[in-house]
Amino acid sequence: MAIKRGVSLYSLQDSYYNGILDLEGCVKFVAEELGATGIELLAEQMPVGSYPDPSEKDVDWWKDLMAKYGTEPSCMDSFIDWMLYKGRILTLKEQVQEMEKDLKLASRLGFKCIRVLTPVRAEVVEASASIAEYYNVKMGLEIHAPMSFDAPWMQRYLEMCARVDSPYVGLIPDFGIFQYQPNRINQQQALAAGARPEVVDAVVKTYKSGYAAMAALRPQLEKEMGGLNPAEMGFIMRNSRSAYSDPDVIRKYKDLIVHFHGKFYEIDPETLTETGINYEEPFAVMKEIGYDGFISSEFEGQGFYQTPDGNDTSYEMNELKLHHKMMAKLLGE
Amino acid sequence: MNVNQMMMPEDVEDVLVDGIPVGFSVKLRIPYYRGVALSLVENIEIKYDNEVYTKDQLKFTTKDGTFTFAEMATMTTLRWEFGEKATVFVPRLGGFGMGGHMVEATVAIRISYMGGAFPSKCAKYVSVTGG
Repeated sequence: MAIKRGVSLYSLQDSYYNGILDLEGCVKFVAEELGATGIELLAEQMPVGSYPDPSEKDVDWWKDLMAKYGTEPSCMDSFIDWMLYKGRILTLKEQVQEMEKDLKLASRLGFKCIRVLTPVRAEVVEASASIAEYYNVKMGLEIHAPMSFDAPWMQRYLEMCARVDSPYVGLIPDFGIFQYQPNRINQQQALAAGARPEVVDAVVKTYKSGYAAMAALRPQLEKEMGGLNPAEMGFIMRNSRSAYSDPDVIRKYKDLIVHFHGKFYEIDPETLTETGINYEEPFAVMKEIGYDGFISSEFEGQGFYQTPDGNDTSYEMNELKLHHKMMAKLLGE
Repeated sequence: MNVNQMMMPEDVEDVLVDGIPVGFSVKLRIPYYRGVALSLVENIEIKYDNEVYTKDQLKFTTKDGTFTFAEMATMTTLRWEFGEKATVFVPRLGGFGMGGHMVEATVAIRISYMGGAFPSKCAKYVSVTGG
């Protein structure tokens, strides 16, 4: 039983987009620079051959790549474009066919589970359960901020999980649900753009109370501060959909969890902590329940660090190194 | 993905037929973090200074061929990949022309989990005469 470190290659999207790392380069970086073994892939972002039907030769190339770097496929991200045609939504049957494409591809590439987007309806997952079993690939619905476990949407999904009672139907918590304040870099950039410290402080203090408190804060600040400037409005809007979950939800739903997304934006190199997301308590719970599987780093802070020309994407690699240093410390490696 | 890099000034060039400039082409990368089926490209618009070219006037070339937007609406297996430079043909008589011009590209991809398409814009000053 062990918690294993992995990376979602989503984290390296700017490096890939700008031709600095190709798919092999991303895997090499994860293995050699981070010492991590799990590879999470968005097959529609960095396709192995072509999506969704790579040739046997492409699949062999991928398997050789995993063997070469001592890595293993952990999770593949599925999208299900239910708005594939303009003016109509795919029927349930069509959406299940889309799911089958991803389950089949994941199986061919050796992934143990797929990440199902939060807005995919419970009916689609339920109707895909026997297909997932056939391909031996688990489906995990991503619990992504601002969704919380208590929301009616999630409750319907959880009722379905209980009814279907299949190991192929589960959950993937995203650490964004443990975000308790805006990241430090977000605060610093708002201040540099002209936001007043009183406004930034008020948002930081209110964030953890959730979106209702954040919605009430804006008119209150507008009144108290005699209006808000564009930097302040931008900072408030960006942080308006907050929804902090108690890390104990991991214990409550442990039997349904198939994978974790380690969402992060900024790691403080001095303290090795995420500057807005609680990692310590969720990791303690993961260890207590004996979680046996991967957590993928999912760096999503690109927008804070990008330069206009895009030639330097070292921020992705630097932040990943810090994130893995932090996770290794939390895991007592 | 950085929306500012959706279009690069060096990727704008004249299109000649029998030596006559019948328009210009602009290479675009998808303003999204993954590739999508061509049917999900809801809109593309190119502005050349104050002239606006809408999607029905444009042609779109990927690694799989050159298509009109009416054709693309039916294409669910051909894709515009993440990072792939697709070429948009703009039928402007005289081509890009001399001097410098502002080129603005607007691309909207239908994103199911967002509930629709939202435009991304990238504007660049392009000069073929260095001024």
